[in-house]
Amino acid sequence: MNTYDILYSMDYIENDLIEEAAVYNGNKKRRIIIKCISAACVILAVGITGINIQNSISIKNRDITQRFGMLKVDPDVEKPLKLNATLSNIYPYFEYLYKITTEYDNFDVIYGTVKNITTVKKIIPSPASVYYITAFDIDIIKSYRVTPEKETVKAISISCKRMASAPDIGPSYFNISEGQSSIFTLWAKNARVDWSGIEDLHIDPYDYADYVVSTQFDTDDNGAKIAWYGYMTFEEIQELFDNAPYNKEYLLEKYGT
Amino acid sequence: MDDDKIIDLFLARDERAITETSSKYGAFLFSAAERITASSTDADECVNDTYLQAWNGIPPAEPRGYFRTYLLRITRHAALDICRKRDAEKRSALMTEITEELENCLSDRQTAESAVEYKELGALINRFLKQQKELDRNIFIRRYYMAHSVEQISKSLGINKNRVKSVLFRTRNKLKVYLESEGYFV
Repeated sequence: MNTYDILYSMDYIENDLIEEAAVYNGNKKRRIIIKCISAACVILAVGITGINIQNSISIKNRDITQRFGMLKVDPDVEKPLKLNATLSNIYPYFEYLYKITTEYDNFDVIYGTVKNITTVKKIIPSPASVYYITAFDIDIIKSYRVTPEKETVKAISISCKRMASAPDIGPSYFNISEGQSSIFTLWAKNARVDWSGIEDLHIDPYDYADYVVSTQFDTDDNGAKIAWYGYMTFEEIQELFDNAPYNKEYLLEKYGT
Repeated sequence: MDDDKIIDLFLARDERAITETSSKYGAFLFSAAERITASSTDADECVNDTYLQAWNGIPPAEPRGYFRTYLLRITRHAALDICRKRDAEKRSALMTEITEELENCLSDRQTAESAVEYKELGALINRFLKQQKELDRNIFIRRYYMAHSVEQISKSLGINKNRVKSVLFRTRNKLKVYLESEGYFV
């Protein structure tokens, strides 16, 4: 008999037995004493520090969770990949961005640093899909185009993860981490962007942020295709913004727009 | 929210059922799945699958009085499926421990191949567990159904780790004898 057979056959253990095991408390008296001592220690610790940091964090998260009416999850940030980003293979993407700016209004590309991340998720049973919505602020270091004179913008990213045939949309919430500096593509409310992919959410992202982030980007060894993990140095980014051949003359010449 | 009210939401096809279920049992289910899969990403998938299966299963199911167990059963099964697929190559340390413990008293000579066989075996295990002392039964279920570590069981029940190990050892041996007596070649 395979050991997994036993583990699977335990699926048929009666509900009463499982419930009993779930709440079974063993030596209750001893546990109550331990709980009392723990509670006293917590009260003492809070009294000594005078600051309940955890509480302030949970209030902040609860606030945004309630606004969305969704479930809070801790952002499970994957360790970023170290990619071989070079200026030459990022250029084509900038050229592409320039090209589409001629077609869309109120769009910007900024280089900035992420802070104040809150991730919420919403499960849509039908069609089966799970959306991750990440709200965060970006401290602007460099701005490419139309971002108003602000030092910080409120941004939101929406991604859809797995489940049946639901399409993935947007950058994965895994890609955004606190303190990370990346290049972001931002779409303001009146940008002509097709948001039909998120219609199941029944929310307007711009109720919660100035911009929706549609892309973070980086390059891989194959060229300008895309998953930005923020591993370019500041100097490289400066060079990209200051000297890259996406200036108007270059692009007008190349694309004739 | 009360379990019965959550089930009413499911029956009414109200999507708040998912939110309320997640709010009440999300962390519980996640930790159960994470113990088995040893992966937060896999555990997340198991929990999402649980919500969807509950959504598709209620109705006709109406798990009043055992809603938590109903959800846990789905999560656990999903987590075991993941473990079985990736099997030894990436099996979690805890699952390796658990399966090795069971392998010591159960050999590979016979494999259950259908739901009916699993159900028959499950019925035998039920009968066996009911004959055990309350403490022994609950330690066994926590270890092999909920995939708790020996340390967790020891802490939550306020008993020595060696005693937990000893109870598990004794119960496994008794299970082996019992299954053999019922015609299972173990």
